[in-house]
Amino acid sequence: MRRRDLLVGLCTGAAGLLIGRPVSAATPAATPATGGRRFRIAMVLWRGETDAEAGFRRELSALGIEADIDVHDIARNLDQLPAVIADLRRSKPDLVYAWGTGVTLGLVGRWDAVDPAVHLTDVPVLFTMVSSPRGAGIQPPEGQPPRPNVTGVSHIAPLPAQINAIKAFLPMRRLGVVYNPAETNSLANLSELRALAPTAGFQLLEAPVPTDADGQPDATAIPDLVADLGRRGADILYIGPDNFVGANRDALTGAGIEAGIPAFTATELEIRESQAMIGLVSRYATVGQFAADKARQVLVDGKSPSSIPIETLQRFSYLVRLPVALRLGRYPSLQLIDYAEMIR
Amino acid sequence: MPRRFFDPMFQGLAIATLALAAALACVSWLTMASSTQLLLPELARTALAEADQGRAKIDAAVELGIPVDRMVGVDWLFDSLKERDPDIAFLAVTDGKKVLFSEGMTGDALERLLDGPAEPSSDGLAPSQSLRGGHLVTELPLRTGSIYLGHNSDALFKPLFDNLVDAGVIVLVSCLLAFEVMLLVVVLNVVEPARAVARALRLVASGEAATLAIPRASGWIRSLASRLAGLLGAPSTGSDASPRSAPLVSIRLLAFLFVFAEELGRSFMPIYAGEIAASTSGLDANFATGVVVGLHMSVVALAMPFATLLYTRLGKARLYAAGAVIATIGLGGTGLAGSYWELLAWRAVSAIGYGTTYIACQGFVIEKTNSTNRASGSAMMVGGITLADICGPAFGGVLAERFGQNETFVFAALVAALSAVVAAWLMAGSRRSPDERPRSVTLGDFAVALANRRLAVQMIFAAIPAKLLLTGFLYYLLPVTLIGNGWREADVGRILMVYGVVVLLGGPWLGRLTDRRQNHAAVVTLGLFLSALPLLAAPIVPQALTLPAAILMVAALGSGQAMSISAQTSMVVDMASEADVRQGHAPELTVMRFVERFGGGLGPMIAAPLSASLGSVGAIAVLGLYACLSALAYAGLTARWRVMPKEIVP
Repeated sequence: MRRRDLLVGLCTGAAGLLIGRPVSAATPAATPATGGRRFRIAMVLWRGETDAEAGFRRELSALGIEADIDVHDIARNLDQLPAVIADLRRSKPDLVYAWGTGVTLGLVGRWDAVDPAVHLTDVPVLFTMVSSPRGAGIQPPEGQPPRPNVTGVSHIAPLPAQINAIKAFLPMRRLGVVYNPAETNSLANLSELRALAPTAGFQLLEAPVPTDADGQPDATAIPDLVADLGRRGADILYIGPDNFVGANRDALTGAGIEAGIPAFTATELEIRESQAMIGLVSRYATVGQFAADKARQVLVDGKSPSSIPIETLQRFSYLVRLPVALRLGRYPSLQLIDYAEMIR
Repeated sequence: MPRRFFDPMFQGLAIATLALAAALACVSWLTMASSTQLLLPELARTALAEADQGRAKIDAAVELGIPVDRMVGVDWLFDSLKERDPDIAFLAVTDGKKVLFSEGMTGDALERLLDGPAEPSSDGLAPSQSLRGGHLVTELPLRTGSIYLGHNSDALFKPLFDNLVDAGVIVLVSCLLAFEVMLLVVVLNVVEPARAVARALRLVASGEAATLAIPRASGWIRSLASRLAGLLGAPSTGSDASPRSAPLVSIRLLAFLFVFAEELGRSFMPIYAGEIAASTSGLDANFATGVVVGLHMSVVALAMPFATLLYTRLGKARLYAAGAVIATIGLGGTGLAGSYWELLAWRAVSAIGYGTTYIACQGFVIEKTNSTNRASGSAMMVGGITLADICGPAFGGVLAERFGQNETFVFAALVAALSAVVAAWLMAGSRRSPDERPRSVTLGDFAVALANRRLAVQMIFAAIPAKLLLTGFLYYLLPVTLIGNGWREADVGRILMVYGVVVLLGGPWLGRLTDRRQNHAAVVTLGLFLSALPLLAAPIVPQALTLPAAILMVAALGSGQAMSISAQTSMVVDMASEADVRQGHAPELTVMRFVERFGGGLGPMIAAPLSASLGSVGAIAVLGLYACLSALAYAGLTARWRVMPKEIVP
């Protein structure tokens, strides 16, 4: 099969972004849409504000929605969530904005294990940056009714598209994954990769991060894990939705470069701010904009979150970190140069 | 040299036609020359722009830091450029010294090409362009090295060549039409009045009473006839008193016009029907198309017996006009059909019109001839039909490409309408002859024919396979295959024209050959093999040789058909009883013609599903195989037939 065949479904406008619903680009003027009402939104964040929140705020403003936004940053510590939930119960905001899989699960629980004493059940919750809502158990499986107070957006491209993106750059037979076995989102993604491997024609090489004496994942083990993947013949390292790996992205991609193995990422940070070579990502800001459109439907249109579909973006950006490619001697093809965004 | 070459009228006609042809050719050539001047720089500019696109992409990669010799995706670049412009033959990247990447041509061949001499440069080429070894080579410098983009220069100049050929087709059709009209005008205004005057004078010279009607002609011939008529007295209603009667030669123009109208859509009908069928029918498009093409032929066959019944009641003029009007409606409807079922209905209407006018023309010949000159009268009609077979598809192809397929059918409808007007003018006031009418197939004919086992062998193993080849291959598979391969309607039209030309030029010669051989069955077998064997090679013809192969197949088909048609006619006439032949009617031949026509309709209907399951090339081969097997069976079955020397009647 020629390489360009693998790009079918990927290269159609991959350079541009188009989200599922029209957002501010289609809204020429920011006119108040709320009849003068100011909404109260509570943001519960994993690691402070990111571009996603900036995009969310900008889009709300563009939509003419006036809102007081109260930020709760748990600083990567899920133990803070009960206190945040208690505060939210008292303040009763119009909408809770939740960032990431861990935060969202902590706020609303698994679909089949909701405890009204622990989780929010009477406040609309809009999640974002959740890689696999269904895999993490936030979204009920097919055939089950949607949750009454939960909707949201995902930021990850479908796995087949990610694999096609890798194959568009290089012939890939073995995919190495370093992951934190303690993270639900990471395990959900890994499970999907295992299922996809036979049909997509690659072998999955798994490298779970061991725990240290404190029972926490041991970041110092990452270089050895990567070197071992290199010995096992990994053609590329896969960085999926994994908060631990994301936090240690430099160690992972650096070790990859040392071992001559490029890295692919499904999330933006690892390529924008680290040394992953290629990425099929949605921009955080665009994810935030998409979330704002769903917030509008809840706040302005008065829709129940259960009637608003949980969605991911329709198109993604193909990014290439050029210095890494040049250093590894892995040159992007003329076709990729045609549509990919080159980070110099 | 034939005597008619010394006939002053023939010479005059020839000179006038040649003068017209020369004038049209000059105009065409001048148009071509000016279009060449305009088009060549445009083509060179396009080539330069495409090379520049390639250059920009490679330079962008080099600018990103990718070494030119490690470039990835030059094959993609070549494919993507070629996808937009199929005339691109190769793309190469060099580092200034050696070829690094070469697509579409091997590196060695490319180096030889680039090292070889350039052809003398033409106006309109950029300094970076040259003509080398049949290619227009565009060389542009890269940041490092050079990019070479080669266009196949033959293909590049194809639009110019196509224009020239299209102009040639138009000139040919115009000349043939002009010849037909001039022939008719001269015969009507000069020859016929002069003959009438001569006949009257001969009667007077022999001492008999004579009268002369004043002819419609003008000028000296009219004044001469008027004076003579005055001297002879009032015109009688005798045999010389029918100056308004159309001469026999009119049949050429009448036959030409109604067949020409129908043949205009021949080259693209399967594609036209296929597109409508695919979008509106819900049926398998291949099958639906085969039905459209086949239905027409079958309805023509069925319409003829009914038209024959109407002939006695309406007479030839009204029958022809009725047929032409029906054909006008049918062709117009074909061009405007909004759905598949409408198209099917309009094609059936066209076929009824075609069958009706055909019978009217046959009636005209019968009326205008007697047993001594009927054969030459029929030959005139066949001549008009053959000319239309040659001109129609080619001219229709040009029209379809320039103005569109729907518009071509509308034009065809106008031609059919014109034929009605011409017929009304030519046949006005003509007498009827209800005693004699064109023969069409009757149940009695079938009874006679079915009793003849040899005729069954003739029909099953020779006549029907030959007709299926003609309609299945020439009228369906060939247009579908060629247009599917990217050829234009006009190209298809010209290839279909080859068939008519081969039959026209080769028919009489092959007919004489057949008569000399006497072994008609062997000639029929040979003709079938000649038609079918080239088709067997269809699957192994390389893409590049599609057009020459198609021409060869059509020429072989034409030769084979011309051989077997005359031999089959002789054989079937030999099968008829002497009494029937003496009366000028052989039921066996009538039945075979009907079965041929009706069976011809099955050709596209069989070819279409074959094409759907095996591809059009596979279907061509299968048709060829079927005809070869039929020929083998025919040869085996007829080997023991006694060779009956044909009675040659002076």
